[in-house]
Amino acid sequence: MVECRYYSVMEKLASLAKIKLSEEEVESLCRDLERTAEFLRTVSEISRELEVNPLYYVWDQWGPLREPGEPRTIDIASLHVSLKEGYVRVPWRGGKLEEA
Amino acid sequence: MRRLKQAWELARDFREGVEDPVEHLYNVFEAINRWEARVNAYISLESPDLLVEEVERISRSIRVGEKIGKLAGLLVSVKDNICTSFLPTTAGSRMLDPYTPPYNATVVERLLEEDAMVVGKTNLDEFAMGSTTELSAFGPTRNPWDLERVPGGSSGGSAASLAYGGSDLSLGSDTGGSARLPAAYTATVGLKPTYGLVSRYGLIPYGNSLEQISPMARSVRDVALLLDVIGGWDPLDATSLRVDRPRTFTVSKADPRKVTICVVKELSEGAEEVIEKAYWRILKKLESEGVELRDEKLPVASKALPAYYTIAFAEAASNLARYDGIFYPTKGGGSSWEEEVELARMKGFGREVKKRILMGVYALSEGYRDEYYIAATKVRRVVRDEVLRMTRSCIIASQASPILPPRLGERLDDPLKLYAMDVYTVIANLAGVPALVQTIEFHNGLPIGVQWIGKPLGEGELVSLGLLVEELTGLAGVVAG
Amino acid sequence: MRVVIGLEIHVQMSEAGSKLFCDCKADYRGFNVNANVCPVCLGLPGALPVVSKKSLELALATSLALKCEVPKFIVFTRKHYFYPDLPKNYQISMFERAGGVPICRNGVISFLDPSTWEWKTCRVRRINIEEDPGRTVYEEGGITGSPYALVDYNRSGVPLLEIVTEPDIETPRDARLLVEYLLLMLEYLGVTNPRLEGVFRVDANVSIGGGERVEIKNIGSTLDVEKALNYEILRQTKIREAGGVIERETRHWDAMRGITRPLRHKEYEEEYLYFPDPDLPPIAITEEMVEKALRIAEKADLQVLLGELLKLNVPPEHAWSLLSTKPSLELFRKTVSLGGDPQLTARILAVDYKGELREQGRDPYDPSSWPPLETVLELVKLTLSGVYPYDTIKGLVIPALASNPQARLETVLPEKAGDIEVAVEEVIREEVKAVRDYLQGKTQALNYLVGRVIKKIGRKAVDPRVIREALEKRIKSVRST
Repeated sequence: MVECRYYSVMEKLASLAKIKLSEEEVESLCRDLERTAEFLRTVSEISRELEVNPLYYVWDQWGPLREPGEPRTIDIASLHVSLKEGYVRVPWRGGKLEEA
Repeated sequence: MRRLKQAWELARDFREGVEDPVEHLYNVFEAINRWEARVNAYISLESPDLLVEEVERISRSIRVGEKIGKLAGLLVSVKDNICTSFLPTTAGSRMLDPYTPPYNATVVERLLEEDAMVVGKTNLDEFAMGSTTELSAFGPTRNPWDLERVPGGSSGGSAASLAYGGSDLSLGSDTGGSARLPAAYTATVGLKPTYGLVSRYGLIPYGNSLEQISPMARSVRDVALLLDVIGGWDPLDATSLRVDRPRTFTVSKADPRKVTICVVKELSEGAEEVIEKAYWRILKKLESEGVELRDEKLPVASKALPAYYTIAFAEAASNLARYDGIFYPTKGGGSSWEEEVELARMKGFGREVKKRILMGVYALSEGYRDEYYIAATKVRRVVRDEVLRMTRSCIIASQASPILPPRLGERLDDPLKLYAMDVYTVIANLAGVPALVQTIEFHNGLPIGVQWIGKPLGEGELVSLGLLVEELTGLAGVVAG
Repeated sequence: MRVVIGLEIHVQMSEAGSKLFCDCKADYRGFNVNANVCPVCLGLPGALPVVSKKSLELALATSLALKCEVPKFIVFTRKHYFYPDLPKNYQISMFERAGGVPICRNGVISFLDPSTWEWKTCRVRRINIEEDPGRTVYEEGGITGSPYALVDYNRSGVPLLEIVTEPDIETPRDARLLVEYLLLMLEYLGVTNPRLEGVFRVDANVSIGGGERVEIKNIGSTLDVEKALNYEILRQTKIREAGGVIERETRHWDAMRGITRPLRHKEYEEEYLYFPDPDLPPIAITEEMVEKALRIAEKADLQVLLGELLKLNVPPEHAWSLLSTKPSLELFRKTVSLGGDPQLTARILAVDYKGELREQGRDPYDPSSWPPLETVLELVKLTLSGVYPYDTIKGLVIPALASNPQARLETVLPEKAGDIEVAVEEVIREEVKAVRDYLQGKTQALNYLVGRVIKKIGRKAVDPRVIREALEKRIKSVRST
């Protein structure tokens, strides 16, 4: 067990982010997360006093709509995929992919 | 310190038959051969044969008087997070090694339309997450001005390629200072455009709401030349502004008596002493030329850095979810979907990237969203409104970096030390406004930069002021060695 | 026990032309596997979404048809979950509680029970526009045992409407009727083709006697909506009667076995990390857009269309039959506008012709199964003229047309009555022996005579019953003289 208050948080985050953490990185990563989380939390202190709405889009400008155009079709085989009869093969229950 | 002809002068001289683009290409090859093994500015280089073929075509066109593009004969390096269908695009990550996209970024299409030659793809911190270009899966890039030091990041490869003469112009990207910090560290010029002025179509995303592809060069005029080529509305990017191609190349040097500079307290202090002194020297010099200096305050600036990182991490966690081992070269070797994804992401991502993804998930997750992500977006609104208010009547002056280029490894032991390097640059990304960094002095052979922050679509004014400053410093076109 | 049902209906906008965010096709059926894909719908790094105008128009028309409150602007959000068919590992949707703004709130759907002619209403909570994921098939072993999942991304990015009702529905039958009526509305609005395979999916939630709500996922047909809910109500009732408690849960509809099954619980609570998609700035819903959508919605108002039919004294069941088969209604309206008798036209099209198409196994929803307007108009006029008894029209003409709708009417018409009489007259004169045999009680002689008449008339279609009648009448009159 690593001595880091964020250990269980980190485990949950890694599970949500679907990243397996290697033994070597767990400890230092946890410490970094702890420090970073505390640094970033300083924002919430000031924002509680701010009576403003969130800003998600920097310009107050409407997005465009797209008129019909020609498809920019690509050949899926040009990606690093494993194909079977045109389908992209994904490991499911026991199957494996080869490293490129 | 050497000085090279500016790119716009070269392009003019090629067109007029005064310079030979073929000879120029060989000069650039020579610089790459001399420096690249030590600097590692490039992840991939275009085949010399292909470039020779292309430059001969251009040379022929010039001889017979055919119409040629604005960038004909110039060698442009492109940051490796900008998609090219003719060269691999790795974003500095093992995850995408070796991935060649099936399409070109809009900016790359525009370069090619103007007959530019893409000489290679430049090194960067993995997925542009870093400020030193040490965090690349392809090894660190070194600063040509001092090989023991970093070139800044994440567009360090682009900056370094310019600084040793390995390219004439370069495309970087700037999420929180990624083009400007390297400019400050390599005596080059970096311009982060107004958000939406340059299409992001084909830029591998890190923090979508913050970043812009950014022109980099060895002079202010060259940056303007490149901006004019890549800027302007693109229907493929919904965040692209409906504006014509910019026209900044032809602006003239600012009349100092017509310039007002806001000296923002919070953006003018906190740096190393040598930097602060240089900063005040250039401001005083400008004042003596007739520029009006006005004192301003931006109290929220102290929260800009954590707000910036919160938003960037949240967006990054989302943007990087797609790398799951299915379409891209790094596979996990897992025997179920879940295992495949977890292993591919374990193998494909570096430590810093993993950390930022985890932080981003944290900032967006139920129960923490309000405290992190939402809080940051509120701070962002205050920052933007304040900056917009100020830039209506002045150009904001700011330091470019709190420190001189650090030595390799110096900033990696503590994440907060790494993040603090961006303290002056993130403001422009949060506010969406343009910002230009240029060099004002050298200290013990290391460059010191200054930052000018303008109003939305005020790139012309930044260029204009930049030209004035460049005249005062005499540092246009300098290269290392 | 009181039953409370709410529905969540996902319908593909199959008629929108393109996918929601790129120019690949919205109707992917008929493509080779993974041949309707591009950088945007594969979520390749750097590719960016831009909302299709047509999708938004259709979604807006749907919202207005359902009398929704339409917002001043819409905002898309990202919903994150890892799945092989979701290339970005997030889905672009409109989650309200994370900054998203859906296209519709607080609407209402009035739907008809065509057997009792009773109108019922159900409130609509909201409508989201979102992207469909790809399609996954499994090899031997199915979803629980297949070594690999096989993914076809042709469907990835197809525009979907997610229509969520309030729990206002009281019976499984009403739930089915609502979905059927809604699909018909969407067909008339030009949003979807309800008969395409996999074009809609329904999730239903049901509670009985004020108990906990159970959600049933993955219902793929309107009949199954009723079946699944009946099964679930029975299941819950049995538990209650045995003194058990209904727990809040999500179950899966197994259409093959006709049962609902529990879904396995997720490891962590659902955590979708919603936030507004930075690549898609809010889109304004302008007055012009609303007006255009209103015009579409008005033209497709089923209640108005039904009212028009009833005003023409078309019987309700014929009116519903016409409405529920769009090509027949279109043909009806044109025929009547050119003077065709409404009731007769309705009977021919909605009952006999449609019945004959079914008989012959032809698709009544395919416009090419129906004859051209001129043919229908002639047929109606001919029927009214009384030249042929309706039995002839129904028994001969309509079947012939149904098997060849493009045939000219005169080529499928039997001989007129006058021509038959002439032939009968001739046959009686020529076949003295057979007539005598018949008069002496050899009834089979009549069949011989009918055959002679048919032969004399020649190639044209003729109804033997009509000939038989004519012969009997003539022979009787001979005897009486």
